[in-house]
Amino acid sequence: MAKSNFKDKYLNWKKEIKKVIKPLIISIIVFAFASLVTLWAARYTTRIDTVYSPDLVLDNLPVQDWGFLFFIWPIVVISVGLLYSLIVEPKKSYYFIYMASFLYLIRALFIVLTHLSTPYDAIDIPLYFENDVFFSGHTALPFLCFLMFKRVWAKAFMLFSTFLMGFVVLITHRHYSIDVAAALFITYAVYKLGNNIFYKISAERK
Amino acid sequence: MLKKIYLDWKDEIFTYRRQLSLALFLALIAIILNMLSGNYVDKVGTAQPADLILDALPPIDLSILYAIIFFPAVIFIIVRPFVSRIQKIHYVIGVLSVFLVIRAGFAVLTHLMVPIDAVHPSWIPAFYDPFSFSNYLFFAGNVGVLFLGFLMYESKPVKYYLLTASILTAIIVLFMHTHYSIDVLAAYFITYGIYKFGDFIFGEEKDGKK
Repeated sequence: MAKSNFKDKYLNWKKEIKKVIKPLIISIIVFAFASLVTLWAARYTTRIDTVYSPDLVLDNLPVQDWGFLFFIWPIVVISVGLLYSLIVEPKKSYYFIYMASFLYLIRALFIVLTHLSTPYDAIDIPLYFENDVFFSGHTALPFLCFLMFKRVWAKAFMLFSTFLMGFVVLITHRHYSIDVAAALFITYAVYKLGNNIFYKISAERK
Repeated sequence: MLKKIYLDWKDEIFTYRRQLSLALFLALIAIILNMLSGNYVDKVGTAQPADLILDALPPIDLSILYAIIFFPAVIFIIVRPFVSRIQKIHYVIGVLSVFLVIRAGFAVLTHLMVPIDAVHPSWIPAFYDPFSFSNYLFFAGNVGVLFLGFLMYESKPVKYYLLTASILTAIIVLFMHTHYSIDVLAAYFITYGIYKFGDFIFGEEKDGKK
């Protein structure tokens, strides 16, 4: 009985994924493009001359080596977000990916504008790029997922991750405090703006 | 006739006295916080980063344009509800105060200094003096407040006027190098969030949002 129930669910899920396979593939291509643009922007900020700024929060928060969390938790967030999109809300999976791409593109635009460096006493992280400080992607992505996802457990996890990441990037001195505070406001506006564009696209398909 | 208009006006004010008192109280806090944070950032601001847009724009003195475009638009945002939208006075003052409080919070965080080649406006009216500090950079309040006006009012001509004024002010402050480009661009995103938050607190009188 339980086995057939599981099989029914699986077949139903497969049917739903099949329905959205084309827009899903397109959204993944758009996401790859947005990631490339972000990477290019981050390479640009690594090359150019930058200065660091004093910061009210960082100056009063002794730096701690929480590099493990800084590195691992975003991977956890992305994995949970992807699994949620594909398993729990497959119909909206491509909408989630479009929204994340949109956030990445806006962030790429911001990071090339004003050339602040990563705070001077930031912990060392073996990254391919540096100085991509404004605004904090670590904080923005889980907050976007919190705004988009419908299930309470997923919202709770993403909100927790938002605060955790906000704290981690500050305590590791990898971001300035405006990067974190502004990330929440900018993500909210990106969510509202992106909804107007991408939710309509997904609604039209229903 | 004039007396009747005055009495009606007074009646309307009396109807909304509670909301107005709350908004005025918040406005007082906002003004104090602005002055404190403005003075603080003028003392501590030290970092002068390069900027993709400013580096490509030669600094130009557009003080006159700034005075013509920005100040009348701000006065318009504040005065309009007193003249023709009395039911909206508390809403406008309340949302503006939330804007000022959040901006004061942002300003004290990361200590940037005004770009080295900034051209400071040569004329600032007395009412704007308490809000005018040189290192009060992130985010651009002058751009944000006009965009907030655009979001708060629903009349189309008013919206177009304030949006145009906001975009022109953004261009002017970039040309005058009085803000970095992230200050200006982020102002639009942050102001939208502030508007939604302020609207949630003060926006019960939906009929007044005209």
